Amino acid sequence: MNCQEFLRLLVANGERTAAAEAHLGSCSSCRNMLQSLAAPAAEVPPARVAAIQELVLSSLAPVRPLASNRLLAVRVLLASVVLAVLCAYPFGYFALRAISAAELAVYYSVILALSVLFSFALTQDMIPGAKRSLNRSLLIGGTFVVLAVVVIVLFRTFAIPRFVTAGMGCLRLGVMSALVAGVAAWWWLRRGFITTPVKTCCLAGTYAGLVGFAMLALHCPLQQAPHILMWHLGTVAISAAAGALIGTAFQHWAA
Amino acid sequence: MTGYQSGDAGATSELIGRVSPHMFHFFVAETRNRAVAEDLLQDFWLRIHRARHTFRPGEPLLPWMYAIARRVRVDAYRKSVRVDRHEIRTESLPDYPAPGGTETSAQGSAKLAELLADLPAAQREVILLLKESGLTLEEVARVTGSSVGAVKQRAHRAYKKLRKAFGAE
Repeated sequence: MNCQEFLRLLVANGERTAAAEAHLGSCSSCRNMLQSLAAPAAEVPPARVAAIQELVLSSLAPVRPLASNRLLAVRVLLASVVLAVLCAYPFGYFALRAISAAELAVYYSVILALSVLFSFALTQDMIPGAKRSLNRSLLIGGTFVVLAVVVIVLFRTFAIPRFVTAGMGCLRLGVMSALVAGVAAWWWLRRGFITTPVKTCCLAGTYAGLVGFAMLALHCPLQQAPHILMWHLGTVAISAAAGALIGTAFQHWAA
Repeated sequence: MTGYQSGDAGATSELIGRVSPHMFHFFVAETRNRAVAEDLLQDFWLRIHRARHTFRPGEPLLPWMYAIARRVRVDAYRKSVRVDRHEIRTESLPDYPAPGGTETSAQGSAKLAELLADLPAAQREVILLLKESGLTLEEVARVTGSSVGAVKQRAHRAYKKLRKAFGAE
């Protein structure tokens, strides 16, 4: 066994084989490194431990553990659907009449699928040390790519009448809905314990933006790709950026 | 931990007594300062207390605890950077072992901290969690919020650097 193979064994936390022992016997570098890493643990002063025990016991009360990830994720998903529908209600569901049933099915299925992923990701971020089954950056970046591709494939009208005037109205409505969803997401996340504020808040911001996007997908009758890409997807971008900024501020404040 | 969640004072005291040495060792190795590590330990338990409802019985305890310990350490580091920006240090105090601590353990921790000091923070953290805290690759991935592959890569790079350092001696 050479040094490279020994390091691989060390990384894998594998069982020390006879070959590994033989290598340790002959290689002083590997042996010294291993001995140094096996340094005895520092002892914590007993008085300090006693003080901590007293402090914790002074406010000890029973607590109920959080529900399972699946149940929490379902609640987040239901909340996002209800929020999108409620936010679109006062302005009317004009989009439902503007596009065909097939387009509707594909469009809303994609939004729903993304919402499911965000619900699970947000739930996992509430629990310290929970297994992260989804890469956060990939999820956020992938959301923009997937939505853009779906919009370009489904809505092939590229005429842009009243591009800015109509667009600003949509952006305002989308951001307002995202704001409502963002506040709800923050309230929800506060029930857990956030260990990575910037990533989690950016994730929550994108989720809130997705609710705004879903609200516009129910309300906006303008089904032109440039309009949706710029103003509807812009809602998600603004919301994600706001989330990242809030996360940075929170991290600074928490320290 | 279940006893702690249900408000059992005896179980809580036992948990604090058992876990504190491991966490203290983690903080000492990260900060190389016993006084700071003691403060971090107290902060750690206050946060554990606030977040105890987020632990689910049946889930592994160590990744949950180390994820919170990591957050405590990161916050403390940010705070120290902020304070350092506004303060001028007039003297540097030696880091004496606390009364009651054996010479060997203090020396061992100092040696380890010195050894790991030259590693990048991410690699140092992985080595501490793997070798000092005895976590598995999967558990370290949970604590650091990264993939097992990334943890393996960091550990391999760290070991390579450490081995090289010893080879140069």
